[in-house]
Amino acid sequence: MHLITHNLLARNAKGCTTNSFPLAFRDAHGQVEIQEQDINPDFVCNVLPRLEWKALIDAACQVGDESLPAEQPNMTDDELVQKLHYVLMEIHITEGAMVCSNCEHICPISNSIPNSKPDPKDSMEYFSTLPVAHLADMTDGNGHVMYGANSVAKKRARVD
Amino acid sequence: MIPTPDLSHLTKVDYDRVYEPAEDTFLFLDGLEQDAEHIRSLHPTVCLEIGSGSGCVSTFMGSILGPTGALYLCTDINQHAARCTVATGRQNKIPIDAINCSLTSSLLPRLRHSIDILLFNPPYVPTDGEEALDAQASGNISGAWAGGLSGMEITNKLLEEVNDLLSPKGLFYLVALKQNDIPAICAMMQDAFGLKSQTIIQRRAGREHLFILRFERQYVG
Repeated sequence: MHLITHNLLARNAKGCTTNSFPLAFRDAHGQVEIQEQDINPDFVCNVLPRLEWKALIDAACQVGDESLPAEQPNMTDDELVQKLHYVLMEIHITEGAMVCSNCEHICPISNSIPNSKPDPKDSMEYFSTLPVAHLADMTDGNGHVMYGANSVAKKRARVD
Repeated sequence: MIPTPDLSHLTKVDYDRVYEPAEDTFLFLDGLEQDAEHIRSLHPTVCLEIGSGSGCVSTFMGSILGPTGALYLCTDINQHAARCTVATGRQNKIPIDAINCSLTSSLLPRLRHSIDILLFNPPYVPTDGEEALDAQASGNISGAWAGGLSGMEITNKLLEEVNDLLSPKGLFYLVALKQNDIPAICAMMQDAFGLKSQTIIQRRAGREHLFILRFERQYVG
């Protein structure tokens, strides 16, 4: 997981929808890989308005990088773009965990992949809740036709 | 011609746990290739694929836009799929970040109106509702196809979020089956969210009649 992705991740689970960003790294220091990547200055500039600067600085510090200024500079010069590219796209968290400061839920990171899966019980509840009214209308009007085992076709046949 | 991603690193063992690219996947690639110029002309910054499975589709998107052209994010409820996604990106030199989560849950708060390209090849096979729910809760391979009533129970949840996710210029690509009732999907997206739709490609593959739909915001004048 790149630090840019960390900057876009929140907990957002049942019962935890506010103050669930940013997640704090735990045990990630030392589980960091630097993966070199070509720089695309346009991409860095385009993504900048979508970032939460303080969360980025804190995350970088937690994994041992202090190259970026604490306050977001007004000017985006070449040097800043270089540094941002490094922090956002080359620092890679491979193992560890992140903790939600609101609900204290721990999201493990394994093989560079954060696990933010819902509790199976919450998943069942979420998917079994009827969609909002306009969707319910749609499915009620057209939906309740079952197609039987015969047309439960390719997607299933593939893996049998 | 954009090359089909190299999947030679994935094995039989992977495909026991992760959906193997099939006709639906390849139709999705063909549709995206056909739209490649249009996609490039929007200069997308953030691409998100829901349920990325093998990672074939996002890797292909990476070939359209270039490895550093955009941020490639993927989610999958199946942890093995998330791993295959990252591995397929790496095999093809496309940096992809995968998150093991349900639909867009952990990304929605921060990526509101920020997704330029949203991709979803959903579990579209009509099954009983319980099967679809169990598949999502357990995160196993059946989550790749079990779609519940009309094959729409999981897709409908995502459709509710599309308008919140798409950037002003954003495009949403969806794979659908004829039995999913495509006119109803398009009418709902238009009526509820003002998103206009178009079938960009369709194909019969055995018993399945597959469609790739594209949704985008409608600007008047």
